[in-house]
Amino acid sequence: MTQTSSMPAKRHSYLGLPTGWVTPQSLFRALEISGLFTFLLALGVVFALSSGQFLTASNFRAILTTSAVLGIVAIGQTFAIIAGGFDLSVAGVIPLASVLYAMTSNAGVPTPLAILAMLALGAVVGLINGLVISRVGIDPLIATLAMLSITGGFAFTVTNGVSVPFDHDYAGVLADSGPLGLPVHVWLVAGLVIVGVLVLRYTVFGRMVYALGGSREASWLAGVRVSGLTTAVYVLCSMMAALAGVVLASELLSGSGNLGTDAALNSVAAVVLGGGSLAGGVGTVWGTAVGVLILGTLANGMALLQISSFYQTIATGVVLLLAVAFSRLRAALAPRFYRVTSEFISEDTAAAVTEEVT
Amino acid sequence: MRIRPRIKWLQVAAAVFALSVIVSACAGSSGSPGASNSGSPHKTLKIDFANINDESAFFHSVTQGMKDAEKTIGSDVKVRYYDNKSDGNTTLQNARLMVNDHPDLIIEFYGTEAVAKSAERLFKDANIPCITVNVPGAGGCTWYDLYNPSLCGQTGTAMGKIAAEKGWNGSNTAVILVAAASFGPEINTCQGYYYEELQKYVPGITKISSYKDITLSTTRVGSTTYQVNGDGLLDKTFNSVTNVLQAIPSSKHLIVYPIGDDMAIGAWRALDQANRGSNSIIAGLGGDPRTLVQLRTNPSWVAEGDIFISHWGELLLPMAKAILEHRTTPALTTSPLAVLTKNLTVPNTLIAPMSNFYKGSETNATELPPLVPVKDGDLPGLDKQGPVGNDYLGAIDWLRKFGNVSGLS
Repeated sequence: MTQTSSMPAKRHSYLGLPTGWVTPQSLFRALEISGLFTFLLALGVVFALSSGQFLTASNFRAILTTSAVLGIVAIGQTFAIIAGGFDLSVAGVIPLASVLYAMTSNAGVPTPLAILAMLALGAVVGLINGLVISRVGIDPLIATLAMLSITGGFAFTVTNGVSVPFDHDYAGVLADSGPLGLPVHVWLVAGLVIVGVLVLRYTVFGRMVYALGGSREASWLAGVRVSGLTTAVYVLCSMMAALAGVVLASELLSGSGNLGTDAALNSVAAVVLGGGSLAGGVGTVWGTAVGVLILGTLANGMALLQISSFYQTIATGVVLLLAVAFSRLRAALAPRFYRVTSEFISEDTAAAVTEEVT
Repeated sequence: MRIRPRIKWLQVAAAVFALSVIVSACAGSSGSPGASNSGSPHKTLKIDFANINDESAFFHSVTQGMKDAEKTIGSDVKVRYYDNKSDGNTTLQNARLMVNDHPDLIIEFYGTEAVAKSAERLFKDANIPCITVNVPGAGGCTWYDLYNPSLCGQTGTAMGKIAAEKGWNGSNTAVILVAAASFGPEINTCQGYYYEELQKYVPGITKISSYKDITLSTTRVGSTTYQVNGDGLLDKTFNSVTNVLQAIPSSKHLIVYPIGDDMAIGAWRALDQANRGSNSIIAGLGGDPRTLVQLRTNPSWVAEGDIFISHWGELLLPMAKAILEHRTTPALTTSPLAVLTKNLTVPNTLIAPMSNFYKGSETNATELPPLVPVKDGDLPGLDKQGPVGNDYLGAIDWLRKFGNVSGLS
């Protein structure tokens, strides 16, 4: 208690932790991230020992290329999950954006404009999601499930169920080869990961997202505009899904109503694998990126080992289950790590958030 | 005071309504076109058709083709349409609705075989003959389908001949088969039939003794052949093929066969992105307009298994008439089939240039392949043999009205 009062307020984050200090929390988080990296590394070692083709530059390119779309969706999903919700409608926004992007490009709309239009589409969908969830008070599961159905249905309706191939290959510019032979969209994902990390870690918006997921009521009491923030998170998530749809269409040179059908569950899985908690308030973009790479490496390695797709599905489920078990274990262990500063946190949190918000 | 008269009026109104419902129901039950015309020389056959999924343009073309066929045949037939929405419950609900409609015959395009037993029991109990499309069903209906041994097998023949002409063999070539696990085992016999024929023409690739050696769990056949699952989806196929390409040295030629056109497009994109398109040959299955364009313009796209799905109505309605006339039908009535190529022709097979069926840059067939004589063959998915073919339809006058079947005047 005396420790708290003697600490200068400006040096505290919203959690009341002295910024820049090595704390039990940051140590725990570091262990968690390094644990994930260790798991990814172990997976890589197993596949490298089992298949001569795994440790090749071309294969790493393949892993990154096939993981990129999920990576984009999962970054948006990370924000939604940290904020205490989740977004199933991404699996409808992806195909809708993919077909509309193909159609607008074919209609002669310049590529940058077409991409911006799809981002705007994502923003509108996210705005509706956010308003329905925050203002009307409908559960995110129901609201985003309904939006999944609506957007997915539109994707089939506007195309009458057929795929829409690009008339001009330049519309697939995001899948063109970039530096190091990696497609442009892989670099785009790398950039988005960095931006996501910076936003969550160093901006007021990011910290408010954590606060919102940690406790909606406490955030409200601290002066956070809870409804607006919730809406902003869903707008961001849907925009990322729309971007994923554009990237996927660029990669395949066509849009289709049945693209990205498993994106909702896979993106949630990637966030959880990366240390996110469906209870909200916990998760990082770095962790999610590692989670995406774990899923991508697993699919790639199993394909190289010629493991039947049936077993691949089982293996993915087992890994996810292990990750959730790990998450529970972490939740059980966390209080021990946090105990040291628990009083410090409880007394200082509201004040620090209020200060940062104002 | 004023309530009692109102109740009386309501009672009278309810009684009149109930009576009118009963009367109209009785009229409806005997009011089918077939029944109303009984005794007259001209009888309109009443047929109920449930399509697998009308939201899909590919499958909706069956409904559209059926409507076109109904129009061509004229007043001899009246079809009522249902949409199974690729859903078991909807299929069963539609089956009940169709039974209540008392048609002369039901045509059922299943999305899932799981409901076949229940649906066909309903048809049997109502004593309504039926045709099952796409899957053998539970045995209660007459079966109409494409024929994997011919279509997939002869695609193997065409691609095998093309690969052999290029000098490709087991030492310099790998084969990638793309399955669709979610389509079920009957449809996925295609890869086995394909490979069984392909191996006859490409020396040195790993041999199989029967098409059954390649199942949905197969991922590798010896050192030359790989199978991945694309699940019928464009993006999933792209990822699966991208991954498996890492296991195949870039010096190898590739023979790629996905058993559906969406998957073929996804596989081609993966080959192209890996800069391996020019060293590959690929074929699709379905006759989708996009893949017909590929066959015309892409040097690596060497064949396309065409099932002429938008023309199925032309054969299904005459088949219905044949059943109602108590003609002998084979265990499997086959759809029109052709293995389209750029210019390869193999006599006495389905393999023929696409220009035989499609004019100019058209993607709608103007000519259908000839009818196929009925003879014993494998019944895919039933693991037995039986009569297969469709030439008995040539005797049905309805089919002749279309004037587009090769060899049928």
